[in-house]
Amino acid sequence: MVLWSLSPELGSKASVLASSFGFLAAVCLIGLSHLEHLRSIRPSAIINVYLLFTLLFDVAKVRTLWETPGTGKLAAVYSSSVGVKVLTIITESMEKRGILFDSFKHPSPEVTSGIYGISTFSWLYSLLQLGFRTNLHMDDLYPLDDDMQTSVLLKRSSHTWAQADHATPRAFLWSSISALKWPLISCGIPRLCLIGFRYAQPFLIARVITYSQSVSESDNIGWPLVGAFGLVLGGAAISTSVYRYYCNRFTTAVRGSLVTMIYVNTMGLSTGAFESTKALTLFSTVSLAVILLVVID
Amino acid sequence: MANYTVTLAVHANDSFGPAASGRFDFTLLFEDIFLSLVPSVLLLASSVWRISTLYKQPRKVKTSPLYEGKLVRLQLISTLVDATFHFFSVPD
Repeated sequence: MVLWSLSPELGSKASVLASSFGFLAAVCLIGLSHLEHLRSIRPSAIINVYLLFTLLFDVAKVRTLWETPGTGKLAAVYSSSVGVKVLTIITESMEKRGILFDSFKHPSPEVTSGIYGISTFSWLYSLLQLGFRTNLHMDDLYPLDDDMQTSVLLKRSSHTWAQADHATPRAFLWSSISALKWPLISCGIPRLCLIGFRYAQPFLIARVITYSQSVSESDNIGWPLVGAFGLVLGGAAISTSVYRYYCNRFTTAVRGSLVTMIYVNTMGLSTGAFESTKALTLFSTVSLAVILLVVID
Repeated sequence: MANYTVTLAVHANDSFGPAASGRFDFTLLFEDIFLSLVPSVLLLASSVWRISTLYKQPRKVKTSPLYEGKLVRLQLISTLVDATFHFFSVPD
């Protein structure tokens, strides 16, 4: 680090810190990838998200380095690391259906698909193809994910409801939210990304208008603008599909736990109590589905 | 002209930005912090949690060449990152 101060023109104040943390992260990736490969049935979400985002960031950084004079060799090393990163993304995103032990082979391709499969809905393509050729039957549909099974949902939500303080206002709402907090959080993250991409659009459009109105600005500005547009529009498309996917999972989980809890409760009611609980029998799966659809849209 | 671009670059490297002055880009300091440092720290934090949950689970995958392929490529990445570190440590 003392020597680095002799050549400050190569990087910024944070360059040494950034590349030493980058090295730590890369070593950590090796250990994580080893465990993820052997002990998880789907491609790792953490590794793939990290690699995808840092690939985009590295491309931006390589461009800056090539345009900064005196950093030619460094830019070359960075460019080659971008190439290796592309190859790594290909291997890390490969699905492992074929090499799983038989006892872990889940019949639904949804469970074994990684972030690319989820965001492009590629796990649905074989079902869609089947639907094009023949009429679909109940057996053709994929079985539910283990986390979405009614038994799992009921166990989780009745456990939190039993622990909740029933006297507080809206206690059932809060206990439902805390039972399903992970599905709810996974809805929120892609939604936040979508907000970000939508906010970026007006700035981008304003910049393109200034660019197109001025004759003096060079192509060096035009091409990055095209790239930025691709990033923002593509990012908005992907975050919309991921958001919709997790939102549907969340509403299915809410429906699954509420309807079962209500049925379990009506089974336990005494016959004398029926007069006061007339409204409960109206609370069917269909009406709940309508309510949830209204809430989403 | 050459002299001018060099001073511009040196000036731009250490200012925070995020937009670099004089050209259509981010400053290097902004990129180092938000495009390298922050993702690395986030990865380190989340992988500690992920490794601890994975460690308790049984092995689920048969032996396959995909495993070696992944590790070799990741090792290549770490070597290249190490190389960039040496770039900053040794005068050009």
